[in-house]
Amino acid sequence: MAITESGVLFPTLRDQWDASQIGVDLISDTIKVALFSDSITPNFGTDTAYAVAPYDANEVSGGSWSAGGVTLSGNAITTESVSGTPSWVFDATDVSNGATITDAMGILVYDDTNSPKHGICLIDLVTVVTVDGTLEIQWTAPGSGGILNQAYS
Amino acid sequence: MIREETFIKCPANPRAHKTGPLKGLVLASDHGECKKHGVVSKAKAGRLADLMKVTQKGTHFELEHPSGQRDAILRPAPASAKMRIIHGNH
Repeated sequence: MAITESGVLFPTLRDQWDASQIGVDLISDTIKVALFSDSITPNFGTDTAYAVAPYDANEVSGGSWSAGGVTLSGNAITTESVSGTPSWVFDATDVSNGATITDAMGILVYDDTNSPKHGICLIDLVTVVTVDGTLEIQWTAPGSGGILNQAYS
Repeated sequence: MIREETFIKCPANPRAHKTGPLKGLVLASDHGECKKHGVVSKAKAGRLADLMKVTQKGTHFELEHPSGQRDAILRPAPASAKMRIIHGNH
């Protein structure tokens, strides 16, 4: 029971390509980031969506950071050279939101427009605590990989 | 004269603790930049008893105010997926 690495939820990636055609649109859909504690056990090969196990419990929220998380803005997909490897990169404006958060350990990026709310990726954190303060998430620059990237190798 | 309390300590640089107040510290009231670990938002800059905790090589900052307010700045590494294309012999 722990978040030990970041990763892409592969069922979502698969279903974008196969007959399911789930239609995750990172630009036009409402893409949210939600916080989870270290009590979840991610399985990138089988996890599918927000509000579906393991993302149906152990969400962390408080203050102005509501359950369900915060909506990303400025979403963009670009082609970049990440560490010298051609990649497509998903990036968005940095998140800055009031929060009283206890022991968040991971960020789930998911599509709030779809039903189910397809999970896109989970980002591993160190333990995060805020008290009546501001939680700011500064994504890496697109050339460094943004929020999510897929590399051709 | 620059006073020490206009800086926020950057404990990720252990040398700062050993060599004095100016090296490895974050100038909060001026440029808000730690040369070793990058830019810190001026809005998050604190004074005097504020404490900047830095872990994981500057990817996670926490700022604790005297009032008990606690802010966090995260710089998470991206999630990555690799697509491997196998080239056949032609």
